[in-house]
Amino acid sequence: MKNETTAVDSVLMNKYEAMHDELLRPIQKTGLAGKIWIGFLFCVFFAGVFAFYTQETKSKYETISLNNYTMWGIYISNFVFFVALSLVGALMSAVLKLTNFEWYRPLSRIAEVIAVAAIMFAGVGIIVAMGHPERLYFLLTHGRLQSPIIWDIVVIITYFVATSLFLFIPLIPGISQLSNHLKDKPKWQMWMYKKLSLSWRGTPEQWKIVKRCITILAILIIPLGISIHTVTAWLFASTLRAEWNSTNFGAYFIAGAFLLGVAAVIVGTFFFRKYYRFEKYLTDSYFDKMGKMLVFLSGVYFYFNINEYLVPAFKMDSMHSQYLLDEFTGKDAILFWLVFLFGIFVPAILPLFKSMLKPWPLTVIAILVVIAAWFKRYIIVIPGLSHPYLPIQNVPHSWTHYVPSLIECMVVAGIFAAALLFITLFSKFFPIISVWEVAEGDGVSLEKINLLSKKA
Amino acid sequence: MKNNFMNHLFKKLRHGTISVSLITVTCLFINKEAISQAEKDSAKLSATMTVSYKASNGSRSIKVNLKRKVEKKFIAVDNLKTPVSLYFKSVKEHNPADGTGLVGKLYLGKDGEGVFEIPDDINKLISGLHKYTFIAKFDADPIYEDAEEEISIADSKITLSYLGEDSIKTATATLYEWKDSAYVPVAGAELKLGIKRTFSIFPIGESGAVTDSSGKVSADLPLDMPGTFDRKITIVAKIDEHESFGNVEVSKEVPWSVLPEPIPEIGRALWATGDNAPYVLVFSSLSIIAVIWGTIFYLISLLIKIRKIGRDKSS
Repeated sequence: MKNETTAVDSVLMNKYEAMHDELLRPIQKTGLAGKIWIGFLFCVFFAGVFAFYTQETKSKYETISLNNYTMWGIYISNFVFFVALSLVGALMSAVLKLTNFEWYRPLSRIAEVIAVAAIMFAGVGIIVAMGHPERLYFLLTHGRLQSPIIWDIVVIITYFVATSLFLFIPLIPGISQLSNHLKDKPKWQMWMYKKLSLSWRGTPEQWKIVKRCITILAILIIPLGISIHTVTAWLFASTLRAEWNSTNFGAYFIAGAFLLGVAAVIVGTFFFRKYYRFEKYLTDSYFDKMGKMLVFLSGVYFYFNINEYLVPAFKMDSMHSQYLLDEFTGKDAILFWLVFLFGIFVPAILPLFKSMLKPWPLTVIAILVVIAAWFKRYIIVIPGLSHPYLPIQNVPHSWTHYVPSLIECMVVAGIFAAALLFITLFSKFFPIISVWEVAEGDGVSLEKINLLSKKA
Repeated sequence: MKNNFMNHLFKKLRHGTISVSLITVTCLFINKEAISQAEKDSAKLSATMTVSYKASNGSRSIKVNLKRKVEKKFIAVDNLKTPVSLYFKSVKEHNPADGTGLVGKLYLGKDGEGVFEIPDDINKLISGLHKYTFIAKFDADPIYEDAEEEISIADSKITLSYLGEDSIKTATATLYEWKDSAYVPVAGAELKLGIKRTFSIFPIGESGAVTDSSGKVSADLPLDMPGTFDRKITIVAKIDEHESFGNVEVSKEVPWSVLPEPIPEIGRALWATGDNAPYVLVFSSLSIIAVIWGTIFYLISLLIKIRKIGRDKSS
């Protein structure tokens, strides 16, 4: 019996040793495709920075299409998209961990890094939308506690700190391994690893503290994640517009955010698996599970959409009818129904077929969900602003509709590029799968994990 | 063999994809160039320019408005790319070539409007004249045909007097025009009287009242009208869009005894100022923030502990 246990342990140890070595590969070397990708993201990011500089230094009449009615535009719809995306950390790491769904382990870091990037650039997005960045300072010094905007700022900062800790703390043992085993890296990089490893030696007390921190954060991050998106929903629900006059908004936003989060993790997992050649660790079975999750969450989101649209459509009161008819059959109808098709029906139905749960088809479905999720925020924000309670009269023709300007599009593209750049660079400096968490999930003891760290 | 064939096929496909992408980008670029050239060549749109003059308590301004007709309706021009220039013609003939008589240039707003505030030096010149002309124009705009509009103003002035008794308070305005080397009263002109409020002018007196033979219009002020907290009220006399004088307005601050209603105390409420937030909201939100940030600082202290343990060789 003892011999059998030893044999199993030996197989597992060999597996994790190999896994550890392979996870170092993307950190040790960046291929041509990787360099082109990073270069491309830098170019788009700098184009966005230039566009923002142009917006701030030239007349906003000339640079952006925002007006008295559509005063938020794609900056705010993009902000809502990023806030929604940031909820993925709360779902994939915290909810699955606390409910003992062990398969979350190899995916948790991908989810966390997406969450940190999303909340960081949601914050950047809201500063861009302020018109003058210094208004953030005035908001903090002169803001009213009664305003949902203040709640949003507070909750974004708090969630960013909590999510960053949730990403960093499980990473400490891994950073220690990098510090011990990476060779031929610049001095500053090795110094960074040394400082971030917090003198990790894998003592029982250190493990105990890391695990306690992870449990506390997993509990903390769920209400925080729900708060951040609920407060974002209240920014709309507490504003006088027919479309946003809803008590359903908080739950509706959270359901949509969970669906987007799972889709984003599917896309992230697919690309890390393919380009870092991690097929052995990010196996098809994870896509199978995430595909099923996609179906479930699409169903939940569909339910909230029915509440959001069907109940007012049944009554068709004068204030709601104008924008509802615009969305169902009018000028916004094509976008509205495409968003429904690709954002809810496709992920709810296609993954029911087994062949669609394979990495390739599921990733295509997930990409469609992510794109539809961005446009879903667009059709929540823009038509809502275009239907004020007081009718639009005697104003310039251009105020009656909204088309984002080139500057706005470039700034949004820059924010996207910056978020993707953060995720890519993270994976070039730190392992994208947490080896010790996967090993622990397979029942390997902490002593053996320590041993693995020293052997590797 | 099969592998070689597949590799070859993939290479072909990759090359094919790059070629198609390059061709698409090139076509888009060429197409864009072609479209912009076609736009330049096509006929320009025509727009209607209107110019109005306003004199208010000695300061003068010229308002330019640009509209175009779309489906039998006039809409504001919100995409004029070139600035509108304003020339003052009356001293000597204006000349756009060398800038003679140029008052200023401005870009119209999204509402198709722009207001030239007449600068002090030209204001002084005007004060010595009794008939003057302004010309607004723009040219070489990529979208709109050149347009020019002229406005001639005849000198006029309004005097405003106030008689305040306990039981009756009367405002009287007199309109004059410059004629034969002197200001003479204007009879039969619509002269409005009112009281200035926060956002508009509250009209007093008979609606549509015109000046009598001595150029006067009078009206009684409502005695219950609240003034300012420093016991003042502002009366206004004006003529709107007069064919010779344009818009002319004068105002006068006079003593007043009726105070405004004191602003009611809102107290602590959701709609009050930031420092008057309800206690329940302040305490509940600060408690939540304290608990969450307390937990975060506790976690940070645990991280410091991890580092201490790691440095302690005896553990």
